Amino acid sequence: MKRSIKTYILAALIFLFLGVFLYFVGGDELKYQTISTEMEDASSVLPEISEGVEVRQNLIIENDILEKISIRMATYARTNTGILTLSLVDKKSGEALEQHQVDVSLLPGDTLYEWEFEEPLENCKGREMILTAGATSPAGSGITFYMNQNISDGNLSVNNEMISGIVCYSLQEKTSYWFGEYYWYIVAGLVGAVELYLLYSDWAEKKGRVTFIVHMKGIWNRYGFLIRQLVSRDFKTKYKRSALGYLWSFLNPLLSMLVQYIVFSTLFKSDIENFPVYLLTGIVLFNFFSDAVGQGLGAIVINAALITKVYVPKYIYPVTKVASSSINLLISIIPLFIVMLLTGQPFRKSLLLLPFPLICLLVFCIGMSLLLSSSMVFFRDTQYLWGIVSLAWTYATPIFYPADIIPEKFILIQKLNPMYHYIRFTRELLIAGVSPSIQEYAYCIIFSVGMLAIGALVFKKTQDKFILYI
Amino acid sequence: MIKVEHVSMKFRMANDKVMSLKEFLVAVLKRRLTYEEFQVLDDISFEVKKGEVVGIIGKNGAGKSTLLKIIAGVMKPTSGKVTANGNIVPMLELGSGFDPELNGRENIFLNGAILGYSQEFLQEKYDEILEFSELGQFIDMPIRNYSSGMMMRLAFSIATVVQPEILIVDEILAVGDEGFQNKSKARMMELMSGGTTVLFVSHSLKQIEEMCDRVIWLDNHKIKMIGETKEVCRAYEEYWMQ
Repeated sequence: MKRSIKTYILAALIFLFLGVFLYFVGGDELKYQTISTEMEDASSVLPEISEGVEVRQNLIIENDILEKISIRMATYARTNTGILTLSLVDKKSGEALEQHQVDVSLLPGDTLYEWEFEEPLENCKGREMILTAGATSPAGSGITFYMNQNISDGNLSVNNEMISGIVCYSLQEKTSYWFGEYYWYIVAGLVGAVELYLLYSDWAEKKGRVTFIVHMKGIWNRYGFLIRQLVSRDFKTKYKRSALGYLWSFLNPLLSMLVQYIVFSTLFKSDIENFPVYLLTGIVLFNFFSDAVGQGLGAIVINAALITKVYVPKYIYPVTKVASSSINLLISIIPLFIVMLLTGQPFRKSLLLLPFPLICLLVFCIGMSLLLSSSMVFFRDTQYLWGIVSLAWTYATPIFYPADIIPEKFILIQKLNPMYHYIRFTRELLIAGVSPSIQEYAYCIIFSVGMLAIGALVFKKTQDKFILYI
Repeated sequence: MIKVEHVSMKFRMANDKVMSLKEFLVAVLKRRLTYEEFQVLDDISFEVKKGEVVGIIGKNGAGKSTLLKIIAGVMKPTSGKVTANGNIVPMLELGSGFDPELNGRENIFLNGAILGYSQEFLQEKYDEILEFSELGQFIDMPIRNYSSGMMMRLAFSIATVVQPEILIVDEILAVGDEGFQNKSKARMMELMSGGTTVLFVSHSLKQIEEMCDRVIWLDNHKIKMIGETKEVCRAYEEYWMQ
């Protein structure tokens, strides 16, 4: 009884800790969704904004919080003088909300000027505001805004005179999620659900039924030693006869990154922030995936001699193959950190979330291995097919090219590619240094759990027939 | 200890064992994927008591190995039920649980784990296994360099170091040189007298007569005879005389 109370408290503490951890590391990205409104195409420019000219553009804010206004400005390809004053006024009350001054002499030609508020404006949803711009520039040395002439909605005026058109601007707004609002309720609900499950499990055990968690505990007690032995066997024998040994886990991704870096840097370098880290993240994750699945695929067939003699739950073989590949993954994370250091990439707290995409990827690989290793028993073609599929998969995943060069018609394929999500998630943690949005978490979880469910189901349905075919 | 009740095993054999997707599709398209029911075991029932040594004899293809696999739990019978109380240790074929790249010591732990021994147990028995296998300093050498005799000695030593409750032996007693053969026979005898239940398949009637308490004779997928070793062996010999 004492032991089970300990388990309850421990489980609650673990989940609470994870909840608090995610809250602080994930930060705003989990609570809010950032939306940038579409900017109209520029077809013309406004009159010059010089002394005495006042531009007014009416805006309607659609979301709770307004953070930033970006305006496309033109300089007439000359150096200008004076101060441009931007201000934001509430249309109804006339209250001045924000004001900002720009030294126009510093503006480069055709630029997207980003006016970020010091404090985001809250409670904006549905409010009408007026963006006004005036300047102290003498005529002939002022700047102006781009606009789209074709949209005439009566919201743009210069010196109180309506003109047809709309300024090329974009609003960066934020809306809070239900997820962020109810975050602590969700955490509490999860903890409650776990506790209830443990209670149920204990109750069922007394009744002589075995729940999943009790079953897993039994498996670990009985086969834990075997699992450890199999994993250490795979790991020990991987580089057994090579001179550099484990160092290869470290060198392999580094060297292949170097080759690809030299080849592709001329093609894509300018488009991608910190290309070496971008590339290496893709390589490390994808190598793990193809290695783990490639190993897991043959796990049943290779161990045929054992499977026909000794009873061991058969899924242990593919699962241990993936587990031993994951040790390699951990080693190859080291060069990733080294390259981050060398390229001056700051280590931010978002790095602490790195286990999340890795665990999701691991679960995904286990699912794939279960599926393919059972398919391999019946059709040996699986291994050759997998060779082709994994090659196609490599190219379909943005490893060395930027994700946004994918043409519109293939976007759906990209969205359905789990590897794209895992790699993108990791890159966001490492390069952008922020937690991805909550949808990205959901994608990662759905793909992993879905794949595991499919793999486990197929494996379970077919495993009794393995022995007849191996 | 072991109770086998009305066990039948049928294989559904495709005309040819379909091994590739192409073959499968071609066969399906040509509608040639006919199955043949193949009865391997037909209503087998018997009981083995604790500590008994039971031999199983019969012609090739009589279903002896299938029966052992069903008892070991690696194969599910089409119908019927097997209950076995106690941990079952199969004697593995020549090094099938070994990894050639690992050394003898690592293989003792790997193979022991596969056979279901615990870590503490193997650590405790390690010296005994090493001594019995007579491998000496070779234990630290990758076993790909072992001779087949050395490998077999190691496998035998690991499998018999415990007193398994049920030991399954599928013809592997001719191991190593004369000296080791005698030693392993002695170890088997010791195990059998020590309360281990043994199921033993062999084609060597001499071995069967030496070791078994009772014998099951499988013929044509059924039990033809079951009883005292001497009786069954005599009947079996007479059968072959004809």
